[in-house]
Amino acid sequence: MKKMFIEYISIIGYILTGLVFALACFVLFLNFYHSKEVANEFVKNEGYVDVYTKNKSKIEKIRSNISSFNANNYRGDVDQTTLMSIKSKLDMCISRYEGTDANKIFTKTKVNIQDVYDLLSYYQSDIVNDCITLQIYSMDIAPTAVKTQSFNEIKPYISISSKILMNDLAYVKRVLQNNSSYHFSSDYDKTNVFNVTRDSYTKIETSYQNSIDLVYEVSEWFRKIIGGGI
Amino acid sequence: MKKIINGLCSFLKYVCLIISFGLTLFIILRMYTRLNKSLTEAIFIFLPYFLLLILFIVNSFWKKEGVTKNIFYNITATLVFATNIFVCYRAVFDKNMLFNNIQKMGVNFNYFNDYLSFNRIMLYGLIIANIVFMFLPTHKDKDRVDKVKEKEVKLKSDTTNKEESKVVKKVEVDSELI
Repeated sequence: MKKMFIEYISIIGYILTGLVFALACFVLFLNFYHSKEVANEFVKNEGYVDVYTKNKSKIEKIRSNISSFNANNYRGDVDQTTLMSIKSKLDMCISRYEGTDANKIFTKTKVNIQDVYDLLSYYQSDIVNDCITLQIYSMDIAPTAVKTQSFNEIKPYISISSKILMNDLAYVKRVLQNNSSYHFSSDYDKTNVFNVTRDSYTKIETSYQNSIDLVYEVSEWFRKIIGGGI
Repeated sequence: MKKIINGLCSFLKYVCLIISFGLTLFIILRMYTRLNKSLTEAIFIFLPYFLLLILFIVNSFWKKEGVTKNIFYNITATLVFATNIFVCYRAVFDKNMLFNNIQKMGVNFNYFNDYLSFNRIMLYGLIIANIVFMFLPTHKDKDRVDKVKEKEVKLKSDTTNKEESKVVKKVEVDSELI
């Protein structure tokens, strides 16, 4: 009887130790894997052209569109003060695009997760807040709203695109901030933890491209109204 | 080989226990100071460390061979503490986990807090397994049982020999009479 009791106790002890061993191995390997995953760098190929370099010519085009307006020579129907205000808004946007620290990260050949987070912060602060929200989107909102007939052509595009740009990277920020937590996370997080650096970087580039396209379209519309005097 | 690994692990488990306790204390102190929480609330985090230390000391003083010579248990204990040390190291030094930089407190509390529940499960598992293994018979007990068995066998064989010799003597006497 005693012998049987000892044998049972021994089995229970070994099962418990085995479970603890398995859990310790699981946590240890998961940590090794996770540390490798978060240290993953996005290395750009030799032919990779970053979104900042790609759009330099577009920024120049926007600048030339803006500078084509000269208040002294303007003889069109649209109110000059309105045009001056639009010009200053677009000028401000261009200065933010050129002065942001995000450009330094865009031109890097190797990007780690910390760089991507900084890039996102710079992009959201300098471009989305200072340019898209305060300058472009404000064209549609009173009291700074542009009051010309031709603005109605571009108004829905500005409104919708600005709203999308203001919110489309919120989830990328959440995913990046969530990279410290991985135990029993949702399926969404699990699929995103793989190559989160590369995926987030690409998303920011896409958003940057969309924002610059929006500013470009506004500048083209501006050139059109000052040129044609619609 | 088995003895060397067992000896190494039984030594390492003490060292790792002390290091992991120190690191956990460091992180918890920073965490609770930051959150303005009383350290008495953290007592349940440190309780299993103290219990394990007491059990380890009891095992070595009372020579509980069910634990001290159990290579599987010693490896598991070392592995658990090594995991704890690795997690503490990452909580402090792994800058790729962004909360460490966002919170700017030198320790990734978010990550460490996730790990604490696993830590408790593993430490209490080790404690229960240790208590269970303490009931296992030691070599001395086994030797004692073996000796008793040997004596019993000897006694049995002696009695049978005596009976046999008696029978032989009887047969001899009978044959002489005949």
